[in-house]
Amino acid sequence: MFKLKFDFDIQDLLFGLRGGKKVSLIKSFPSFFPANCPPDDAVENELVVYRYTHNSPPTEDDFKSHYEIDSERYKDIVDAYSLSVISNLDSAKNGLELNPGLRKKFKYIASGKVTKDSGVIKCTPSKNQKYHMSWWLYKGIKPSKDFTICE
Amino acid sequence: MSDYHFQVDLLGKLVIEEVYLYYEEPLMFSCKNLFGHIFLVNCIDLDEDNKTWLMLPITSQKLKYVKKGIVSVYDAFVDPEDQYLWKVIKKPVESICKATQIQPRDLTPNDLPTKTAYIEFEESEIVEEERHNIAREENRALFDVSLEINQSHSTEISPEVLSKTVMEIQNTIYSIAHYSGSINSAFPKSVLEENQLSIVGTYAASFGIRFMSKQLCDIFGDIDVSKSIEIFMQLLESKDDSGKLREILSVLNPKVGIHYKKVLSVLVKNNTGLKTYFATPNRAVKEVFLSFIDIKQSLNVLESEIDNTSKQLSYSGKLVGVNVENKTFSFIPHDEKRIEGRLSNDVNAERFTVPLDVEVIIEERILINQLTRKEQIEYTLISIKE
Repeated sequence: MFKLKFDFDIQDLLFGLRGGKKVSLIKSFPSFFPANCPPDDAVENELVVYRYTHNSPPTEDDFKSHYEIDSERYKDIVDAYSLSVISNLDSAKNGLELNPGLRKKFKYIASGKVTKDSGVIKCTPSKNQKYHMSWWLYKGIKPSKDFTICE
Repeated sequence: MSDYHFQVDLLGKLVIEEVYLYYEEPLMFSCKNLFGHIFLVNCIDLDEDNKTWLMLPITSQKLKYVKKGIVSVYDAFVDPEDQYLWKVIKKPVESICKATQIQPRDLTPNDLPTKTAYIEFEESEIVEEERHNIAREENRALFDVSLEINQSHSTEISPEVLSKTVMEIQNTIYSIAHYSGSINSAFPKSVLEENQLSIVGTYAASFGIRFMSKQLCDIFGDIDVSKSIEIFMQLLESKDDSGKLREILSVLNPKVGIHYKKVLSVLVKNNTGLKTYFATPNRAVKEVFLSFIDIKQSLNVLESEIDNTSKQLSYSGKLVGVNVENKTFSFIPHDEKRIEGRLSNDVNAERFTVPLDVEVIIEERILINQLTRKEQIEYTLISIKE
């Protein structure tokens, strides 16, 4: 009996090339996301956002959600599955100036483009922080390569 | 620390009130304990094993100043009202945070915001929905006017500035509603009744004055005064656009320009900016903001627009005096104030019998005195019909 043998991972099968970039063909969220996550009003979008990073250039460690850092502690918090990003550079700079905790943990501000293939995003401002957004990444997305240090 | 409350050994249970900085979690916020004491809290170390917070006991008034930028966040922490702060440490295994009292001198720059850091406080976003809800609940038009005294967030105002501003805003609204009237004429009772605003209080802003229509809206959420307020806001919105200003004023009572000029003059004289918000039960909030510079430029353009503008109006009444040598007249329209002015060259009779019941056409011309910037009304009798 003739039998085919595949030498690739199922993840690779789910990826294709678009514009020279490896993108997910089947968009799905990580299996560890709870049922109500992401919220229904988070949408695919394309925009430039800013994120604080510890590394220059940014690494995947800079794009880990709270849940990925400590799954037991944050499992019941929907926001812990998302990444905080800021849609305005001045606001991002002011955040570092305002908060010593952020300044100690993060040395840089990286900018990058959120794309429709990367996940869904939602404006989640507090009434005093209008540029804050939450970004839920699709499974397998590695955003660090699309971000560069700007400050 | 949960999203909404946390426990501190020396301070009890604290509930988060407002978050000022959120990044993966609340990092700067205000909170309150069970006794109503307020704290401004800033995370100074995000280390998961030793998360550290600075908690500043603060009064609601000082917190308001910090949010508005009157007091910098830095100054609030280095100069606490109670002369001390709390340093609070949360260890992951412990459910209660440990607090230690510290003095401002114990703080290093690494524990503090920078001197230029600010809280992104947006007053309009906070209350926009609230305004519409109030208009709906009360079934009245709501008109909020926030005065930015001395171009700052001062929450105090002199009685003189307050009364003049309020009076001239109301007079401008009346004049807009009295579109067929003359400069000289008093506002008819119907205009006064339908367009009267009531001051129902002040609100949190630099100096926020809340007006509401005295009358209730109809079942569709409409009310007469709303049209006048909208035109008033269009005047504000036109700023120094002379074409737009002319277009709006050309169809209104000339008195509108005079009262609107008085509103702007009071603001300019007192170095004041203006924010206005308008809501009715059936419409969401419309807002117009003018900085002090905008108001100053608007006033300059308005003066040149209303200077030398004229309108001819017909009256019936009593001609009570004519001086054919000086070419002057005195006329009392029915139910209105006496008008005195000059005879035009077209009125060339040599003898008049007074008093005389007549119908006249009188031209009203507004002239702005170039020195005092005050307006003067010039009346010319164009024609007389017995």
